Amino acid sequence: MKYALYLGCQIPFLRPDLEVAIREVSLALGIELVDLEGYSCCPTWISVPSYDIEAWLALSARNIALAEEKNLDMVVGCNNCYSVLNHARYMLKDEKWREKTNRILSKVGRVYRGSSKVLHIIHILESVEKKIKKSLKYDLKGLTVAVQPGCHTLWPERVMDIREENPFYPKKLRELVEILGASAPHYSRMEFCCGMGSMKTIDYERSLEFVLEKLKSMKEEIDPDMIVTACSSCYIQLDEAQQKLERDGKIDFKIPVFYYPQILAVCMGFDVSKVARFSSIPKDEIIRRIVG
Amino acid sequence: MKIGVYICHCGENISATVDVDELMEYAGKFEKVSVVRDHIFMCSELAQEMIRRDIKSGRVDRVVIAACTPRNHERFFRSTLESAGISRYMLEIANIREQCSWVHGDGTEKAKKILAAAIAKAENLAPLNDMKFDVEKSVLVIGGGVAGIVASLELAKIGYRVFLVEREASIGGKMMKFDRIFPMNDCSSCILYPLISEVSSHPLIELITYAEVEDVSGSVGSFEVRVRKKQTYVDWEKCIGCGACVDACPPRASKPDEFNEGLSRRKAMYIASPFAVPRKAVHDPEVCVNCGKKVFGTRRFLRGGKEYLTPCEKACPTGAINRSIKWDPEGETIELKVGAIIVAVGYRVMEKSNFKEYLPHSPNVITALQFERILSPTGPTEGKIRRPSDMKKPGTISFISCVGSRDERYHTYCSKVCCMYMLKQARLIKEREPDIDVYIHFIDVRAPGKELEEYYTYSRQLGIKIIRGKVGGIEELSDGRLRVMGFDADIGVPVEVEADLVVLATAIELDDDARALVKKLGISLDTSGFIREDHPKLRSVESWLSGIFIAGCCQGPKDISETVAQAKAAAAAAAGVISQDEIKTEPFLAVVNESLCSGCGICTSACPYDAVVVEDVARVDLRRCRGCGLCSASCPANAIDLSGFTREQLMSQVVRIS
Amino acid sequence: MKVVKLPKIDGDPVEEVSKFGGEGIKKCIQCGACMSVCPVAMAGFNYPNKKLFKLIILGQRREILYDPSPWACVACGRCIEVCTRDVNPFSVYFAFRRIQTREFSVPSVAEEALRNLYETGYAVTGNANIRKELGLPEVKFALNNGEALKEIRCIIESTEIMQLGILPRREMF
Repeated sequence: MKYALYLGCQIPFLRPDLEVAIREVSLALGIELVDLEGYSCCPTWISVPSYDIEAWLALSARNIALAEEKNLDMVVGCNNCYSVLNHARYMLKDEKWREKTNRILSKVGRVYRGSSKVLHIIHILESVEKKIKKSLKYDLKGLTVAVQPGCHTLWPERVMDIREENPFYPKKLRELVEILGASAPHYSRMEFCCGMGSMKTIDYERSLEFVLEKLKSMKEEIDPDMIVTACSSCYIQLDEAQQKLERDGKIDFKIPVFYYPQILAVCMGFDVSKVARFSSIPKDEIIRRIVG
Repeated sequence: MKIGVYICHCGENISATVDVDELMEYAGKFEKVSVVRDHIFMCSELAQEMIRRDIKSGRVDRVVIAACTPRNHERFFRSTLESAGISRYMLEIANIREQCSWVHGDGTEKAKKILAAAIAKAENLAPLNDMKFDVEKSVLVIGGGVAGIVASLELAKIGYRVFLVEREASIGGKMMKFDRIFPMNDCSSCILYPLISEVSSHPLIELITYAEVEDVSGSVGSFEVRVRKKQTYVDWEKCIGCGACVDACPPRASKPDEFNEGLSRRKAMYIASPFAVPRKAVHDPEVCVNCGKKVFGTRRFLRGGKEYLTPCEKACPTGAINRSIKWDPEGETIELKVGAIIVAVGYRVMEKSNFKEYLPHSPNVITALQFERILSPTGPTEGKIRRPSDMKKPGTISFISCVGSRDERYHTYCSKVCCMYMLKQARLIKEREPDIDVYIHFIDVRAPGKELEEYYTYSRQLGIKIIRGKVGGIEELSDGRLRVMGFDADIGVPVEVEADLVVLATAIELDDDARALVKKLGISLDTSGFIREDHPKLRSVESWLSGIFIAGCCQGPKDISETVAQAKAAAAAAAGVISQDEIKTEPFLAVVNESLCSGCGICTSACPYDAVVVEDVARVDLRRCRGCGLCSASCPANAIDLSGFTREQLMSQVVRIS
Repeated sequence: MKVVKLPKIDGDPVEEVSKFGGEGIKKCIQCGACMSVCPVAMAGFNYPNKKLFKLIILGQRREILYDPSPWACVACGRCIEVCTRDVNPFSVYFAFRRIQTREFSVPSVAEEALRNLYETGYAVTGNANIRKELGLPEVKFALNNGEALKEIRCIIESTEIMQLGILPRREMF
């Protein structure tokens, strides 16, 4: 099992503890990750794709081409990268765009073939379910988890190679969390967006009001001990927004947030000071409950 | 040889893109052409008179009409020729509308080619004689829903014998499942039951239920039909419909009930519906659990030699059930001869499982047809408004329209009746339980038709909340409740409704059995997937094959009044055919040149209609031949020709334009 | 918005949107499915997708040109999934963003993201020391990889983006 690791920017630059978690659990589970040297931004939606289709496709295609040169499928940890790169892959199935893109790429000596898939780390972990079960040092028995799959791995189905049975009622992340022993009940706004991305940068207040609906649904319906996300963006948003909302008096709770590989790393016994280093909502107490 | 060329302007349909003057000048240059005329409407009586005059005066003895497709008016122009005293087959149509002016910016050059080819063929035309056949004075009606029932009764009233074939064990179709019907909100059953009892007791109507049409051959006036009657394990001669066998059948041998749209379960022994006609029990081998280890199709003896009888066999007071009969998947075959066929096979509604965004796994998301069963006094709740998950009375019900209709992912057409039946269902809720909140999410409300707009506006007055905007999703709340995520175009923002029950108005479509039947009959489907009528306006109950008619929702979504009107029209049209003493058909059929035929038999395997047999040389059964031309094209010796489309004629066209 | 005066055709905004990747707009029947699940609509922005499309169709380009709503789209893709006419509302929304970038109606964060990307290869960057502290391997990111950065800039420079006046055209290094 060998994949080209595409880190994106958020994970290595803003939340490198998540990168540690991805690397540690992969290594332990026999998933070989090969770094992509010289990769660039995916490019994220608010950047190049908002300006020009050709430039977006060429930059995305270049990143995918780096994996193609290694004959590997690509694995990403951030839903935003997953979405941008898969949309690009979908558009590049069109001869017209592929030709334009390759004309640009030829200037930098690269070519896009479309031979490498873009997968999410969740999809890889899902395939080693049994190994995960065997490698757990701690579990989440007795804990209730609110999962946040993140919209970019759900829709639109047509651009993706791996799909939920029903993207409007996602189950993959719930199942992965249940492997760790927790209960991960459904709550009504599970498929809801977190309001991160450009909404947050354009109007933070509105983005907060928006994510509040989701947090309320979690709290009122299942009262979770923690939130587990598949997406680094959702991770940051849910973590930071709670802090702000609580300060503003709009909520009276703080639910610690984990990124799935991160909580997995905790359960596998990795150094929590490395795999769960940065967060707005303290995690110490919940981690103590897990590792005893 | 004097060819008259008549070029139609078709208002401006043709003349806007084809230069008619230039075309006339072009036509005049052909040696055999004696007259060239144009007219703004060549199908008008004035123009007909002009053509007839040319023929009668001897200036013209064969005719080329350059106008619309021959599907439109060819028969009409043929009769013009006939009434002027020449063979109706001395006509050739140049289609310069559908295949030229409608699809090209400047069609003049192409029109010249089409016309030149038509003139070439006209030069090679020969008079032909119509085929004449005897007429079987009976009709096969396929489908025992309201359309089939009405059509059968109409024909029987005129005095024709009717075979009514129904796939289910009893007749009545979808209408049996409805509670009330708009716009009168009168009881569906009360309207249907008298018709059902009339049809089942009429001496001229033979009901053949639990049966399917297997094969059809022959042509108008004389179709040969093979019907397969499915095996029931119940001798219907003896069965009195008491239901004792149903009671005896164990509950574990059950599956979701078709009549209640899966909201309840039925057993392996069952009677199709509470008021079924015919009221006969049927055995479903797929569900049967083989009580007492007696596998159906076998006998079992107990110690002491006494024969073991299953509970159903034992329970039957008339000894009608015999599960020892060998299982015959073929069933019993019946051969029928009829003069015409009416296809009235109805529709199905799309299942909710197609629509992921509406959380089909939730028991409280149901289709409108399921809700119809909930509203019905013969349904699983006996007409009490309850939701499936816990049989509690819902506080809020939301309706979602256009589920699978007006949607490129499924069907682009409007299913036409959903707006009205949702309003009806909403009104029935309000009448029975006024405290239930009812929301209907429409894209637009479509209520054209007599008294329907009034029905809609009155529904608003009852307090039914109309929300204009398509629902984008449903979220699942705890205890089986649902959050409907809608949009209200009037206030311009998303709206959310927390509902206990969600009803989906899923699209009407043709089912797979109907599609298979269409293939067997040799008729065709339209782009919406319904059965294609021969002309959308003028021949709306005729299929393109003469003698086969269509009625009801299999031709496209329609409500009951439209269905009944169409069924009566189809009956009249069918009667029009079989009332003739003999049937004349166009002679465009295969002809064998026996001196060239080597009897190789390639034509036999090429023929899709089993119309060619080889006895020394190939022989064509003209009643079966449909003039497709496959035999002619595949004959290595060029020994088979198609009258009216001979090699010589077709080649002359190709040569002329190449 | 008070009274919208019709017709007010600013060029042909439908064609313009089509040119920038939003050709699906022509198929929209305004059913509203996209609006019922759109985060932009739910968060209360002025012109969520269908509403924006209607104004484009009515030729009211100026009415919306300086509105930030299109930039609030989180690209969740749910509208694509529920659209009944395969409009791909998301693509129309992004096409309008591209029109806005050509009319200098760009939020500063979007400008910053583009500049960052051109300067460093990434829209977001951070402190590399933390990675070292956590014992993470050294990866040749574009920002510390001259060759890669050259490629990225070359790609951007061969597209229309350079004509928008946001990025300085510079000598290659």
